[in-house]
Amino acid sequence: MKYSTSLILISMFLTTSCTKFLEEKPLTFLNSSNFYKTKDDITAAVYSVYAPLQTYYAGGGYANMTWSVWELPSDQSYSNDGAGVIDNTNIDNYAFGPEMNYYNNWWKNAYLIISRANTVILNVPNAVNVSADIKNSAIGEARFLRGVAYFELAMGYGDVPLVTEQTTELFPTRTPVLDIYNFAIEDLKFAVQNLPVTWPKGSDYGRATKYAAESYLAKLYLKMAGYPIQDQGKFALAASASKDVIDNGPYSLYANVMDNWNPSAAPREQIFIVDKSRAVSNGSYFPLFWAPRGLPQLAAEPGGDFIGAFLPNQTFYDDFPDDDPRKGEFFMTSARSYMDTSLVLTLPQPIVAKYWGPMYNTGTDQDIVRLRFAEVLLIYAEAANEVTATTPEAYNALNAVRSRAFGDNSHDYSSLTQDEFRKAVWRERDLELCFEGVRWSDMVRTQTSRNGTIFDYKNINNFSPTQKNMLFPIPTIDLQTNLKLTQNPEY
Amino acid sequence: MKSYQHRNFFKVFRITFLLLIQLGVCLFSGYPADAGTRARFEEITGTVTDKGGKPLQGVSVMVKGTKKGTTTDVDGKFRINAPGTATLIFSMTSYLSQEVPVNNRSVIDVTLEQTAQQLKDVEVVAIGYNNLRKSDLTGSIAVVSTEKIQSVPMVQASQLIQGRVAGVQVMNNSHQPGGSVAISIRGTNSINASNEPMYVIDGYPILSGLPFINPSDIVSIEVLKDASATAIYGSRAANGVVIIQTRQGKKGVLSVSFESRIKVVSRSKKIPMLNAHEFRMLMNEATVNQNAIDGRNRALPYTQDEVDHPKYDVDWQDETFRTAIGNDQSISVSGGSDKTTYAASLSYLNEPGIFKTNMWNQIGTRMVLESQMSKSLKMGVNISYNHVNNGQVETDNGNNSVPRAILESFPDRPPYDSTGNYMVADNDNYANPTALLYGIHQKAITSKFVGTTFGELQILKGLKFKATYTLDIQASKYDRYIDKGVSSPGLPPPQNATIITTGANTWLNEDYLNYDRQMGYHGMNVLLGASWMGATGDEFDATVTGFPTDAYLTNQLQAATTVNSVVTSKEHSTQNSFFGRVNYNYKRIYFLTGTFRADGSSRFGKGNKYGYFPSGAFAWRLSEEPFIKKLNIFSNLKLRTSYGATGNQTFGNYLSLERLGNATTFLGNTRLAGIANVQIANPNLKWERTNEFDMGFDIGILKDRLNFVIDYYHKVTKDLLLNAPIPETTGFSTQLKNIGSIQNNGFEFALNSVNLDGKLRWTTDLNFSINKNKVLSLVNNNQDIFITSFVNPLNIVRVGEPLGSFWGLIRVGVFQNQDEINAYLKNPGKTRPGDLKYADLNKDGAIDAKDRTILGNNNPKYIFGMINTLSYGPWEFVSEIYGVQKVTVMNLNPVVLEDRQTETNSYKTLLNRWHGEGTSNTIAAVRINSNLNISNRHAQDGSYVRFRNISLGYHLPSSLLSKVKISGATISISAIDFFTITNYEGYDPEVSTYGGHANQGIEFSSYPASKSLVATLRINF
Repeated sequence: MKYSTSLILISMFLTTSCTKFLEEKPLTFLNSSNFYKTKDDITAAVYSVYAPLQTYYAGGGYANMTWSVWELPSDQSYSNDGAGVIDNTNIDNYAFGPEMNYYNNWWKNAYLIISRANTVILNVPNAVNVSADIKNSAIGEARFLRGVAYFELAMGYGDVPLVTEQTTELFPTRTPVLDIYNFAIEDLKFAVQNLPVTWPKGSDYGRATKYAAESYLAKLYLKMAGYPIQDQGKFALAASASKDVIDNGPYSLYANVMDNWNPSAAPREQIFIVDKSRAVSNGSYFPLFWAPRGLPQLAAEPGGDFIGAFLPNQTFYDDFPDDDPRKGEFFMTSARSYMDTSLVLTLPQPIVAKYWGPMYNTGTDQDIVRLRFAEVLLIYAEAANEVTATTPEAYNALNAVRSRAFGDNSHDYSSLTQDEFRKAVWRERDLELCFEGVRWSDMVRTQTSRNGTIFDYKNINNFSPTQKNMLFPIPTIDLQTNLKLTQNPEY
Repeated sequence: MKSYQHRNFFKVFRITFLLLIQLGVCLFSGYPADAGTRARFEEITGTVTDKGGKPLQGVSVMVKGTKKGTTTDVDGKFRINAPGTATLIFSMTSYLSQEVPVNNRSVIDVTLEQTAQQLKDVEVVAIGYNNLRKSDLTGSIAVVSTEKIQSVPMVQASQLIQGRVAGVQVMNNSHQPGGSVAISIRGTNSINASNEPMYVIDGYPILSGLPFINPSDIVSIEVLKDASATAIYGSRAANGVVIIQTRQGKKGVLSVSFESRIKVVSRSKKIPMLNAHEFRMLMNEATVNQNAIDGRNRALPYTQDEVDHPKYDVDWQDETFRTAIGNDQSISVSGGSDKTTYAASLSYLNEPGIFKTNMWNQIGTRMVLESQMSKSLKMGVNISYNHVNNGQVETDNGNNSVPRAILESFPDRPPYDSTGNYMVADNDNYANPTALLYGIHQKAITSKFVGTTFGELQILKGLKFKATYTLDIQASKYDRYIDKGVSSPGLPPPQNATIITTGANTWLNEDYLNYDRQMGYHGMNVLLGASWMGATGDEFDATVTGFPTDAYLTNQLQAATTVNSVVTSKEHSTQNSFFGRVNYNYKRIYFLTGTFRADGSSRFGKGNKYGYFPSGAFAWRLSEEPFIKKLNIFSNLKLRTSYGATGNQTFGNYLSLERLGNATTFLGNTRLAGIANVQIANPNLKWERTNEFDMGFDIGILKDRLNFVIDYYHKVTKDLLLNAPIPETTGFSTQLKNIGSIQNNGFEFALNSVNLDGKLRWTTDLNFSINKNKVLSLVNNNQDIFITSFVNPLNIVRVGEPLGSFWGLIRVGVFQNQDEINAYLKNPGKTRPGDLKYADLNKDGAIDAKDRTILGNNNPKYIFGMINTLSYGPWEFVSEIYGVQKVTVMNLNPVVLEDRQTETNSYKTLLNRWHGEGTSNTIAAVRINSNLNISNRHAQDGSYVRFRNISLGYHLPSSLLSKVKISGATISISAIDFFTITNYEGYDPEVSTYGGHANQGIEFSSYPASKSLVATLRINF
């Protein structure tokens, strides 16, 4: 029986029954009860709010290219054949569909930024042994990113659910677009007050700053002055915010506009960018989208090809003044191979040159420029002209962009009526900021196109925007999971 | 009648008695009984066969009056030393024993007669933690016997069940060596968690990964189907339980058997593709058509001379396929002394793929040892170790999948350029198949050790205590190196090396008491036990790029210039269970079983750690009742019925917890570690639970020459685990939740028939099953759930429909002219004659997402299997048919190979495209930009009937063999998967590219199916 005794003893030893046995002890992740305590925790939490920007603006596979929702409906570009993605063509044809991944990606990433920002805003005040300045600056970054996300959501979708750090409701309803803008304004104002003008070390390039916040504030006011809110009073706010950026911000125009997209040029004109770098396996595939398929020999190494999701409308190209040097800078009609520099190919059609660069299998080093100083100058010119017609300061701002383009003052504007000036600014935005994802929002804001009203424009397939296209569709997936949401009209 | 019953009892008694005598001799003597005999010993050999001349394995051959004995091997051969005056006793359960005087003969062949009734009575079946007489079962359990296992040469144990058990669908989802095999028992129960059954080998559950096992070690496979049978395994049993028994040692002389196989594997089908001339002609036509559509003026890609006389014309399928030769070898020994029995084996399996660098090599060893340490204590070990070297080819469904590339690559381009380097694709996205095959070196090596130690203590008469401790250690290493010059989008840059190592360590301790007692008419068996389990998994991955040479492969990562990524992870989970079972019978006519299991798992939310799984069953052996006996029809008639609950918890760890994880971001050209909430907590997460009702009859007539098993079942699975969509305004897209329920209803029928029983013996095994799957309810007010895996949402989960229904448009033809378009569409836009015409289901004059509908699903209406065995003397012929009917396979290949046109090479059928009014109503005009839509064109009939195995075997005559000291030898030749009757367009309808259960049955560039010719030699010493 001695065996049996020992066997039973062994078994009893092994059978330590208690609820503790079934407790899960995570080995590779944390939870909020043991985080948000130190300065390093706060920094890591703030970094996480920036992370979705990578996919928000230029991410996804070629089928989910989020840029499409802002770029393709414009009168500047169209969806190329061969991209093989029918939804690109559908967007181009104004057949926006709520089930399209594009609208969902944009929405999803915006709310991911918002939810992470909310976490920072909620938890950072409770950190111990961290100075108020550091806390406010962290909250400022979070509120900057949240403010921009709400601004862009409201521009795209109109009324959207307002989720704040205080929200516990899992199934929110839609909040009127005006309240969303006002909420974004408060976020950006807080950011203006609490963010530094620059960040100290190089690795912080791309973080939110005081004047980036103020620039977005100016852009937001300008939008509120236009369609659909039409609050004329906002012109003055847009003018004063942009004036402050012009007068006190650290930005100036490059002598060569193309330096905005040149990875080796020192930052000067860029106000807010999304960082891209091949060295840390975060190359940008953005240029892939801007050259047509079938030209892999133009890449920097074998194995790649371009996708050609976006190509310039021939009408826009033809319309672009031939004497404007930017026509030669922003478009290419032939290209030199990076692999074989003796090879120069004539392209089947003009392509966009702003994002052209050596395309490796790991991408390019080109940052995604979201907001640059030239746009702030044009915001000021437009807003100031609405407050007081054609002031010298407004001329200065508008002509700063023109004279940089032409290299001298020969093409500066002068002696315009208020309406001529307004149209000159719109045209300048059309030319200077082409293919930067702002044209469609300008068309909606001003309700115009180069053909007259926004509804007068006809795309390459003879489709025109309709009233329904003024807003994006609310993604199907959210309508299905949150029965309190309603769809935008006509979808 | 009474005498019959009496005789029956006597048989059982006698066999039990024999066993006890044997055991008693072992226990009490301790010394060989023949040590003192002085008679002259002669070697006697012989063969034991049944009435049909079929060799009988496992027949006990005893020298009368001694404890000396042996058993016959797989070919019915025995070899024993005995005096010429002795008498041999041949006995085996379910056969009448015979006593045969030696009379100084050296060869004694014996024919044993089967006693039908005995077969049912004494055959013992494993039921989990214990064995039970087959006749006493209350649950639905099917057994695949040794002979059936040996008749089909297969590498994976799961493949041995295919077509042999009613209600079990085995799907070879990938035809590559070692490719994944999915088993579903009685339909699909789960969307997210696994649908795979639990495997138990020799009573010890497989704790992680595949049950690597050499098929020649397997003696029997049982499938436990209903809740009464499986509930003892509680939370792991909702998908059924597969119990595998391996060869165990038997007392007696050493038995050695050797098995050798050679197989020739070749492709079973080739897909007709365009040749270079046809391809170029259609490329030019597409350009002309596209220019007409958008008014542009693209140049034709090829001159007429280039079209008519292409320089190269490559058939990529011929370029990359091979006829491969593989071989398997195994040797096993078994035997035992008075107190100790043992069995051991060593095996080598070599399964070549039909792509040139693809193979599966498995070396395995197995050892089972049991010893009676004292009168009351038995101890033993059961150890297996397997090492698998799997040479892989890229088969993901991206651009760099070899099966995809061989169909999509342009036929007018050679594999190598003029300098002998791989030709790099210069105007398309698709990789060079030759480069993918030879320029990417990848293999996966897996080592798995499973060892169990047990002690069993006889406490009182009928009361035993058993404690087991199992350790399961699996280590895997995946290596990939990409040669210089191999480049393709989506592939890491050339000279990139990746190593992924994963480890899984699991321990399990099970302790239980078993009480077995017969008191008068009352029989009772009680089981009470508890178990504890812990599992740890870890991973270490590294990826580097930039080597000075290709020579190092993955052997010297430090030579690389760039470290791309290093990843580690670790996780741990625990489980604790308590279980009990009572089997009671009255007169062996009425049977009751009650089972209960409480399972606790660390994976669930705080308040839901434990799940409780009860079941009850009743069986009634009507054939033992006088009123049935009077009818004189049934040799066996049993009614079984059961109801019970089982669970499912096969999904990842830590899913109920809030999780802060990495949110990597980039600022200032620097990679920065952000930390964010990456998983939303669900403290209410709980077990998936399946309630199942089963009712069945076991029927034997004509003295059991005809046996039927009929079952009806009804299963409802509640609290389905699904990564369910949640409002994205939370910052999350999904949360693991218990949502909805699914129902499976079915009917199973199995027949075993001895059609002829004489010199020529012919038996037929037939099984047939019907299952109907239906989603009963879903989260968010029964909203449809869409599952996307390619261009459109491909699967829909909808209440009232089967799980994994396919979703898409209905194609009705091709627009023949502009009038037809204008009449059909409100806004024709750019639609032109030659474009595909889809049904406008909502009649709004536009074709869009609102016109999508259900196109079918991958749950077959019925499946069947039939095995016919003909034996005549030493010859044996086996034919096996397996059928799956009324099932849809979503074949996505035509999306690329027919609809996408010009982007890739296409099916030969593209020659039948529309090119003018009336030329085609099935295939669109070729264009550069094609509209891709999933439709009924892609939802294809996946029904098939397969001649899975046709084999002919020959048992070499023992007169010949005894001279070379071989007791038996069999040669057989089998044709595996040679004929398949199907309308399916792809390589094979038995296919699934994606692993999930809601999207089972979608094919996208699957691994090509193969057939094989196998020669087997089996020798016993």
